[in-house]
Amino acid sequence: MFKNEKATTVMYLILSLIMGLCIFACSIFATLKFTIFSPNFLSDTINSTSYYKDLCAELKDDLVNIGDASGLDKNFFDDFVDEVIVRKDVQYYVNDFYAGEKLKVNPSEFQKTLRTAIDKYINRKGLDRKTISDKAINGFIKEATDIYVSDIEITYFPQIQKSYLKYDTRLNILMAVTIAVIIAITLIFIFTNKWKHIAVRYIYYATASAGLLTLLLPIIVFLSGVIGKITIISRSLNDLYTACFNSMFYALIFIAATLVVISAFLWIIHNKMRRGVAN
Amino acid sequence: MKKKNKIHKNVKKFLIVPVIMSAAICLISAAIAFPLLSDAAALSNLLLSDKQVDYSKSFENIFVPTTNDEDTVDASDVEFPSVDKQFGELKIKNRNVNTKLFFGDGSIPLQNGVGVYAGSFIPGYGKTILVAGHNNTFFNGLKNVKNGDIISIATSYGNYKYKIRDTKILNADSKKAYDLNKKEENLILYTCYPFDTLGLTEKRFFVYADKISGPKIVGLYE
Repeated sequence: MFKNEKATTVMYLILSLIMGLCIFACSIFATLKFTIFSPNFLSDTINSTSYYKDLCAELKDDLVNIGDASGLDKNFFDDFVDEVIVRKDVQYYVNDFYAGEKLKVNPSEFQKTLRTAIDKYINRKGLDRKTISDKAINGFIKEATDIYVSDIEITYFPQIQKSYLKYDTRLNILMAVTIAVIIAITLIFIFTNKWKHIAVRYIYYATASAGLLTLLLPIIVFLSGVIGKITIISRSLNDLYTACFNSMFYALIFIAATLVVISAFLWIIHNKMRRGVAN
Repeated sequence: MKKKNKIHKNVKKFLIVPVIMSAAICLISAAIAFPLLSDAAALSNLLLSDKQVDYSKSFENIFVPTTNDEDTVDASDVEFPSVDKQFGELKIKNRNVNTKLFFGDGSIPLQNGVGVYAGSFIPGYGKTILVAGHNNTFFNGLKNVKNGDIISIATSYGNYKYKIRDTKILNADSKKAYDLNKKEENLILYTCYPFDTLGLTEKRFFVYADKISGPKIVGLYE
């Protein structure tokens, strides 16, 4: 009898461990699914940070360089970079990434605006068109377009797109499997125990252990300062990546805190139920 | 005493069991996630670095005018400039060329002056010094230069003079434009051609000059 009781306890502890592992895994999968694997998350982060403003400023700086080399006044690009066009092109790029489409930027609107601005500049300056080489102007527009395309593109997206598509499908399956296992073990605890407070205790063990581990991960990441080591040559992109990773780990802290609160609640219930049984 | 033991046992169950289970889950997760570590490592290699990127558009100036007129200067007394640092001034008298001299020919040097191509040499090394500048800004005055004009370069370790020997208009990709392995110290200035035009041109205007004075850097390979 005593041996049987011990074996049951060990079995329940193992089940509780498996349940904790599944809750932890599910927390990680859910965090990934609703943060960096979510198209809305990236769009929301882009909109809630100064990404477009910073990107437009960087684009202007890069264009001023090529403008200097092309004989244009420094103020040629003042008010030239249109945030509306930039927003639209970035959004298309992000959508293509999540849709698994080939990543490309369509610079036709930018090119049209640039050509019009050059024509206006020539007229304003009273320059003789005969002395201006079409080849040189086209060379400038081509170079400026290359700069525009490279600034709109999001660094590393082409490299990580394949991995994203691979893991996105797997995440859905893994989440479904872990949730199914959690439900199954919960039912085993409830229906195989005469005393329900014991079932609650094992569910508490699983929830609390998963909560502690989920909390530990972002704490280690924040204390080690890993996110501060993100290094991308573009300031706007660097800030965007940093904001995305910060949000992801804050989401993990939120989930961990929820698990800790749930486990505390379960412990209180367990104690109340146990006292009820004793009385 | 009995109550105290009970509370102690309760706390033990409340804390110790989840902590031990967390450690076990951590180990199991690490074992399961091991195959994914190569992807994670590749991603961290792409994104992380201990070196911070400097996003500022400002530049450091290490140029301090000197009156050193000796024939040599020891390499240990020369602060070799890093990319984007101003380390001197370049002038061509009466030709409207008077500009800051940088190391490197990226956007910071060319927006603020002219820059030595980082694959060439700085004055005093006895090799080729290749300097780039924009034709509509700091090197616009090159359109006025003539053979025999003197180019002055002032650095913190010495003042150099070069006499213009020749000028040429060549294609931007011309392989005959310069020889970076030349044994004698020579200065090559280049900019886009034609001058005062709009757009990106395919030709380059080269100015070739030979060293006539300035300290040689010694003790380089000891």
